[in-house]
Amino acid sequence: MDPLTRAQEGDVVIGVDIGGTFTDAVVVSTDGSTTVGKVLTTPEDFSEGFFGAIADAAQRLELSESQLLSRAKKLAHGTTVGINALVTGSVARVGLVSTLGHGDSVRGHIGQGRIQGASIEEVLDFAASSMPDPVVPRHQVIEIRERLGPQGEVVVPLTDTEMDRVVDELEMLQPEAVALAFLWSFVNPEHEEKVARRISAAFPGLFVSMSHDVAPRIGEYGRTVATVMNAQMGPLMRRYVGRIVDGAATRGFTGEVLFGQGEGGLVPSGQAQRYPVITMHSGPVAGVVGSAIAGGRMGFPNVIVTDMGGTTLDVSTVNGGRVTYREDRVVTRQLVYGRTVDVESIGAGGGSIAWLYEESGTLRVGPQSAGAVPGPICYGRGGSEVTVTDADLVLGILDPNRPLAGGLKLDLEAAEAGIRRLAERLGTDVYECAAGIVQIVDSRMEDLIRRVTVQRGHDPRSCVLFAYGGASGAHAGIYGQGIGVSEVVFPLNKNASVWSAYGLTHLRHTRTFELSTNLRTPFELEQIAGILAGLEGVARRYGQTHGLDDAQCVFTWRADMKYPLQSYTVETDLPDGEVDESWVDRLSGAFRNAYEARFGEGTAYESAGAVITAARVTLEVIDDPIPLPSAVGPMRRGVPYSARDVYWRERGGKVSTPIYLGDDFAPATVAVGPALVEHENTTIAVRPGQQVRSDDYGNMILTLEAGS
Amino acid sequence: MNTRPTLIDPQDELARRHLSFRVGYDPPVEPLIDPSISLYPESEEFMPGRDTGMDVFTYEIIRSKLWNLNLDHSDTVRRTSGSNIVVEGYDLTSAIATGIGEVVTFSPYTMFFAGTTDAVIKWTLEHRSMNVGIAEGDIFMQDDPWVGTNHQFDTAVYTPVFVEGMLFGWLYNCVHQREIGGRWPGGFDPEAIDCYTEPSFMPPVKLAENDRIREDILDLWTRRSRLPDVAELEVRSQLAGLRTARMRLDAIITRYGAPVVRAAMAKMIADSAETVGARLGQLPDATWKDERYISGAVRGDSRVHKLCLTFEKRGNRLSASNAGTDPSVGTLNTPRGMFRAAVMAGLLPVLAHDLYLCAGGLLRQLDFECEEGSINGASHPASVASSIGSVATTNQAQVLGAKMVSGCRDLAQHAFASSTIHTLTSTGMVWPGEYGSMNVDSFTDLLSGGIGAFNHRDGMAYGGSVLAVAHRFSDVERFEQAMPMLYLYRRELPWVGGHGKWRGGANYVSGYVGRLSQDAYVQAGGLPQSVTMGLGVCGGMPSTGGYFWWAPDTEVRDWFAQGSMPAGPEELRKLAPHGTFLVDRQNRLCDRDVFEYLANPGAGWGDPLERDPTRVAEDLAAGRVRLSEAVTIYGVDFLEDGRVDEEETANRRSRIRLERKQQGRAPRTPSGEERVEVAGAPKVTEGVAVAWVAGDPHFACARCGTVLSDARQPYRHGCIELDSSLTEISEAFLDPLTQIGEDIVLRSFACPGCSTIVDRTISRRADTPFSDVEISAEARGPDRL
Repeated sequence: MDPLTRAQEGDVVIGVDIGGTFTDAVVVSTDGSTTVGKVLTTPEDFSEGFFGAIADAAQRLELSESQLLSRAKKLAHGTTVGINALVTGSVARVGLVSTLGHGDSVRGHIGQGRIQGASIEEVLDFAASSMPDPVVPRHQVIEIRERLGPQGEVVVPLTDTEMDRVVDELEMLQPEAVALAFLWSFVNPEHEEKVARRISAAFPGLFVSMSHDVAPRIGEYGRTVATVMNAQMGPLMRRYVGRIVDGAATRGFTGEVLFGQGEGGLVPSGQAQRYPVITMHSGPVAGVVGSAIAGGRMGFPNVIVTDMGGTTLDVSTVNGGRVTYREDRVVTRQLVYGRTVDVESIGAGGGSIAWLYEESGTLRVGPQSAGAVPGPICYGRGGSEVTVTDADLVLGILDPNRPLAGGLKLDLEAAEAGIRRLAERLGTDVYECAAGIVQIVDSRMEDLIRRVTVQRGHDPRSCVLFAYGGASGAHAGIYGQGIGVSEVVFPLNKNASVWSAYGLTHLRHTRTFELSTNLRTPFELEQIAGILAGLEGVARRYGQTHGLDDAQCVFTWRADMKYPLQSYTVETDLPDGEVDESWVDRLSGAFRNAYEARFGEGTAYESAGAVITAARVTLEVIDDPIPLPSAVGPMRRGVPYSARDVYWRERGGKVSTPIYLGDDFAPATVAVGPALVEHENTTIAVRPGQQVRSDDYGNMILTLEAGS
Repeated sequence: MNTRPTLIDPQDELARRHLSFRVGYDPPVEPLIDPSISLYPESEEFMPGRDTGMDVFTYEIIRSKLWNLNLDHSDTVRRTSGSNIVVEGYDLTSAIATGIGEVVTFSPYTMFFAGTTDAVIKWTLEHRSMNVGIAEGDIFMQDDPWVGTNHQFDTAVYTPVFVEGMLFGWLYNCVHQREIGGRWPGGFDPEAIDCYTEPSFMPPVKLAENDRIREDILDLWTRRSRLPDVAELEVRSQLAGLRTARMRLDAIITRYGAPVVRAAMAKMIADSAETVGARLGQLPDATWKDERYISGAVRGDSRVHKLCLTFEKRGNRLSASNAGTDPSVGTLNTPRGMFRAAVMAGLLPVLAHDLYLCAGGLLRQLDFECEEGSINGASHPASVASSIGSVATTNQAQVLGAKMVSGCRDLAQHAFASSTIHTLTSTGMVWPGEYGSMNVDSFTDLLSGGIGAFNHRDGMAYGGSVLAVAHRFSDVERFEQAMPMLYLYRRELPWVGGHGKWRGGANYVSGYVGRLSQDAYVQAGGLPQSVTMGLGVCGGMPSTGGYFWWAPDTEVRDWFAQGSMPAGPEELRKLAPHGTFLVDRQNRLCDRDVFEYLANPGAGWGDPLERDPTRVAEDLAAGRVRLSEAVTIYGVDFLEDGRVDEEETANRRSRIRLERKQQGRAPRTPSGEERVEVAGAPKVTEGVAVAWVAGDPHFACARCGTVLSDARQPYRHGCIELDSSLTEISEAFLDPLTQIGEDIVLRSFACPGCSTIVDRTISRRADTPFSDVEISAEARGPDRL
């Protein structure tokens, strides 16, 4: 039965991811086969692109949009609407209400403003660096007379008069949303809640965001920024999510649209509307979590996930099927609290510029990027600086006769002339120079990957490397080898360009609840039990409110732990069972193991005791797994369709290299390097000594040189 | 560098060792190393028959890898440390060095640590290679200031790396440990008489042999601390960092081969040295000098002490000297090794900002002359724990460096005026702990200060200091969780940045109140702020040294009960009119006591009258200047709608220039106000050009061409002098007369032609201005500049 027929039968799953250029929809049918819909992103109204992509996929399945949607049992959406608004500044005007005397907390960036989101080159040259604007300007900050202490005790009571004054000031300010961020509110939310009620009564319908609700963690700066950003995105996301939900229902979808979050799971529309800050980065994260879930089922429990595009390389890790998290991130150069899958980025990609450091006559690549415009020289859009893509083209990895997406024709001569200019100054030939540029950028990427893996206690030798993103095919074979993995997987390469949308289909309804704590050894068992019971109550109430089936809900318990006086914490799994002495012993053991896994054997210092700084429970709804695709098909032959001369550094010159079509690979086919495998959006370079094959799911598996 | 081990005469070694203990170690270019140690050759040049195979691409790859491994080294230390000073204050460094200790790269945290790294390694080579020996698997530690550390807390842990039995290089880290004993918790003793009254220290000892920690040494280390657990955790964090770095370096050596890696290390240093040399070559052969005062040598010190720094640039080298600096006094001191390290750190931004912290390259172009027994060349057993001398020297070097390059367009782009921690002050708390012990912790509010103004734009509020590029300060909630106090406010004072054509960055003022403990104190450390060291550049105005303010037994709790709270300095003064700026070292901070702290803002660049009036209007709207300042300091008048009144502004600025001539002291050596052509003339500072008059070089105003002096004379003596009280600038300046009993003034030097202020200094009223710029005799020929 073909995908079309299967889709027509029903029970499809749809993932939609809105990116900067394209909006992608992936429809997964009951046999795991996928159909892609792709339209240009519509920044003036992102929902148009959302439904346009679904309609495009429907058309390919010879269905109407409503026929497809009515057959869908799950519709998952990763949106960039919120972060796009932050980046472009088209956010709601927010009035920030903060504790008297502390309205300037967002201005100092706890001393990290000059550094957050800046390159090391900017950091080292004071004159080249800058300070980001505060997340909200001073005239939109209202200070309120109230004060809590570290145990949540009331130091200065909140009065009705004071609340009335704040309401009056808001009346003058006429904000489109309000953020409340009081000191110690995450320990005692009473003051924030009171003020929120008062404001809501005075301004019905106004979006109000509370810091204890959005980011209940110690540290007023990151918590306030998260709360302000949540409010800035609030009105916009409320409208946008409403349009998606209503539009889907109108078009025949009968289920609940779920929205991706930075933590990696999906949440219902109400949560996305109330906590838009959690939807940031949901697209890239869906690719990572999709890699974890789908990869795990395909037999890859330990994965280093890399996404190499035009300007950045994103890296994250999956260990035993689990992604790693962080509790804050930098967005528009602000530190924002919020649990998110840990994805590190460096400025290295196809657009990275190769340049001569004049004073010592040495070659450097990046961190500057030519971006998409003007882009590499070979794009012919006015770019005059040599980029990694120009080098790939000159080496022959990229086909000068094969236009890129959008019909862009590559100008080999111009790229070669650019690289020749550099080569002459370095005293090398043009191909050596191009190969050197690639070597340098790949080495930088390798260094980042090492930082994300080895530095965090993951051994690359036990991992495979997942590589997706347009520039990954040409480079993963080098940076993969550098970090010591033995295999690189180009996952379901047919879907590589829509991997985030595909990942969304695998995500599950997930919500994490957290409590900031300051529990020190010797732990008081009753106190811990009380905290965990409280969290469980919150999580269960959430499940009931959202009609979740208890039998499908899985709770995962974790804590942030450290040795006393340390600042950094290590996330530790909480043991099962009743909280008793044995539970505490097992917790100590788990913390020691997690700590030493991260920092090395012998670094733990148990006699110092331990501190729990946060406890959290993650509720995850385990529903039916999404079927995986199969690469078995009668039309696959696995023979080269062409050949061209490619410069391979390992061979010291140009070699006639066979070219395969990715879609033509049957599971048994093996192509031995040097070879190229071309896909719609990427070309895999199989270097001398390497070989590539397809597995049963259609993943391309690049095997690297043994012992390298 | 190709040092070969030589036979060491034991008597000579002992004499040199004792000399270094007494006057401080001066690292030689080539250390004397016991012949039992073979150094790994630095390139094929020294290894006939072996081709390193390093091409330009491999070089760049290894350079990047060494940089990253070193960052990961520091990162590991930070993540496993138990000290806020390290984690939040970034008071650490890590480094990779060659076999003889030249630093290939160090991490972007406490910058002057890099200038002691080579000294510590060279000392270890010179004095430990024959006895106790240096071998694979050894780890050394040391915190002896006379060997090479800022003060006793700064603890170096470092290990040699051997390849094929030869000493290939060193991995090194140094952190400010939080508590290592001594009379006062935390170790800073403002009444220290000498180093015997401060925390004790250890010259280099072996912490590990054959990869095994020596528990006796670890015990020796931790036993002196009030917080032995913390001390041990800190040592362990340093060991974890070394382990990470060693693993990574081994992998790089395995992959690329030791000869290639060693050759890349050598090239990084050589390239950096060449770059620094070329930059120095752009400057005229001249001498730039700074003299400033520092006070607060001991509690109640009512004297001022002179800190002098001279940069003499010849060709592509720069020599730094502290000649003229007063002898060691009280707690201001730092050993000679830190003079070298601090000058290096101060020069990094202008000469080596893009060299990925290759200290070895910068140091190759620098020479040092340090007077024995001076404040920043202190001999044993002077008190050296305070860090004041090294911090003051770093700031002095950074600002003098800015002045030195200010006339050179390319280099001046990277220079800036005094930045936070220019006038070192600090706050911490002491309170009783369990079992009779004392708790001690530090605020990092001093790091909230501003960056000084650049030559082309304003400085940055909260931008940090040159001491470390990555300072951070904690959230209020984290301090309140850790210490028995509450912040009443942490509020920006936007107007505190130094005035100038470009303004310095501002910072917070913080108010504290005690809670819970009836026996808690704020420790207020550092310098008397009235003698600010926050000098501006090229006519920019200074910034305040900040202040402490304290009031005991207030009604603050009554205010709380009534639903009220002092929300800023003005309300705090209303709450406690009896408060004082003249605070003690220990200031009780219990339920009813309040304390206020202002850190150091950045200073200004250029004469404020040169500031674009539109910017002044924006400053006024944003609160960065008050109306009176806009009018009197910037000479800007406004229309009723807040826009600049251009006509009145032009008139007012003319009047101010005229007043400068009328009210200032006439030039000490008038030059007749002859004007010369200065377009395209070389400059020794941004405001002072060198022009030839009748075949002789003269200093002239770079703005209007008025001749200031013959180039053999101080140009300042050809300027109008304007003395003013620092407290006239704003209420954020304290009065030196009240605080230390000295008549200290802000002295401005204005061109007698156009009245533009070309330079300023802070001096005693009676002082004759020193000559701050001299061009060399050889450079006085027309073709030589």
